[in-house]
Amino acid sequence: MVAGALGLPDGDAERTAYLDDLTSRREKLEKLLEVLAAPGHVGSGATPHEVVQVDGTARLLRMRPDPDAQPAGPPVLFISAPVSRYFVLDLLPGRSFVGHVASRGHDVYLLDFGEPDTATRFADLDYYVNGVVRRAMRRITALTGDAQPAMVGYCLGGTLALLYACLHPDSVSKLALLTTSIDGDVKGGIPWIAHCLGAEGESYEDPRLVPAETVKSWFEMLAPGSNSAIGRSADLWARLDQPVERLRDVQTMATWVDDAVPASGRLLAELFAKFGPGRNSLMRGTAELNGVKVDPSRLAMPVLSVSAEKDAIAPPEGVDVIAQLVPHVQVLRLPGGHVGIVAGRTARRLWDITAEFLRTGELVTPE
Amino acid sequence: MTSQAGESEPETLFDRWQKEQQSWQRLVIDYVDKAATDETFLTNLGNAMRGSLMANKPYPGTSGASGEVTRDAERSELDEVVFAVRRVEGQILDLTMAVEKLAASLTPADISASDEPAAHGSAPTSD
Repeated sequence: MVAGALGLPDGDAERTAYLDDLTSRREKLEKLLEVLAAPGHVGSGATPHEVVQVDGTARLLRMRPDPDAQPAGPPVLFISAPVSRYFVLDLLPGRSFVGHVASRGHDVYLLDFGEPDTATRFADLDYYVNGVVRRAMRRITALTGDAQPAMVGYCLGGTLALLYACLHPDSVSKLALLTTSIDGDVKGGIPWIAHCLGAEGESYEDPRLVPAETVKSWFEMLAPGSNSAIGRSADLWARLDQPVERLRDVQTMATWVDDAVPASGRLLAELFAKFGPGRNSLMRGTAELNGVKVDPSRLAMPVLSVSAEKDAIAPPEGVDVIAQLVPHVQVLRLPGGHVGIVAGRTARRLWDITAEFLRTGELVTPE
Repeated sequence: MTSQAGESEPETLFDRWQKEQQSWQRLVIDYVDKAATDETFLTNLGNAMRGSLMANKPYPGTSGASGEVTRDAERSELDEVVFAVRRVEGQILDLTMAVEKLAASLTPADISASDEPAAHGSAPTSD
C-alpha cells in the first residue's frame, strides 16, 4: 500500500530492480559531483622544473623530477604545437611524458611557446624554427656541453622539429616525430578541415591573432557534435560507471582540449601556403624556409616517426609517408588517437619506445 | 520472538527505499552547496556543458583572452613594432650565447695575453 503510494512498481522483484536503478543513478551523480569539484588540470605542468630561458612569450623549461638532484644524462628537447598548451606532454603526476623520459635518465627540456599576445600574430615559421627553437637548442648546448641534443616533436611541434633538423642537421643527434603530418593532401586531418573552413584565407601580410575559438572549431569539426552540450553530456553519463580516478583523467583531457590558445595568423598562413592541401611542398620536394631548401632526404641522424591508428587530427596515412622522404626513418603506428597516445591511459607504451629510441637510436617495441 | 543480540534484521524494501531517499536528499543538498559556493565546480560544470552561464569561463592561471584583435591601423603598427623588438631581443639572446660560448672557450692564458696590449695601450704615461 505504502509502496504504491510512493509510486513504486508492483511486485518485489520489480521494486528491487527499480531501487537498484535508483541507487546506480545516485552513485553516478555522486561520482560526477566529486569529479566536477576537482581542479581540471595542472596548468603549470606536473613535473617540477626550472625556467632556463625566456624568449619573447616562450619559456624553456628544464625538468627536475628530483629538485635536489642535478639533471644528468643526454639532453632532449620536447616541442609541442604552438597552437595548444605545452603541458599535454606534462599533464598529471604519474601521467607525464616528459616526466617519464626524465625518470629514464635523460636531461629533459620542454619548450612552452606561451600564450600568444597580439604582437605574436606577426610570428612566422622562421621566427619559430630559426629563432625560438634554435635558441632553445643553443641554450641546452650551453648548459650541458652537448653539441647535439635530441629532439622530440609532437603534432605541429614535430613539423618545427623536422624543419629545424633539416636546416641545422649537425646540431641534432636524434629526431622523434610524433603524429606529425607530412602529406598535406591527405583528406580528413586538421590541415584539410582548416583549409575547408577558410584557414587559407589567413593573411600573411596583414595577419590577425586567430582566436582560440576559431582554432578549436577546426578541431571540433573533426568529430562534429562530440563537443556539443548533448554530445558531452551523453559521453559523460556513459562514462560515469568508471572509477573516479579514470573520470578525472577524462576531465583533465577535456579541460586541456577546452583550454586552447589563439594562434599567429602569419604562421598559419605560411603553413597553409607551404604545406597545406594543394601545396604540399614537403612531398613535392619544393619545401624551403627563407630561401633555404628543406630536404628531409639528407637527414643522417636516427629518425623515428610515430602515427596513431585513430588519429583524426593527423591521419596516419599522412604521417607514415615520411618513409618516402627519409629512407632510414623508423615508422611505427600505434593503436589510439592523437592525444591518447601521448597522454592517455595507454601512453606509457609510446613513452617507453621514445625513451629507448633516445637512448639507442633504435625502434624497440615492447610486447 | 525477539531477535538475539548481534543478529540484524534483514533490510526490508521499505527500509531501503527510505535510505535511498535520504541519500538523494543529501546529494541534492551537496550539489546545491557546490553550485552556491564552489568556484571550481561551477567552472568545470560550465565548461563541460557549454551553453550555460558559466561556459567559457577561463581556467585558473590562464588569461582567457579570446585573441580577437581590433585591427585598426595604429594598433597594427604598434603590434608590428613590438614584434620587431621581440625579434631583436632574440638576436641579442643569440649574441649573448655566442659571447658566453667564446668566453667559456678562452683559457686564462688567452685572457691575460689579450689583456696585455690593452694594458700597455691604455697605461697612463708621464710624458
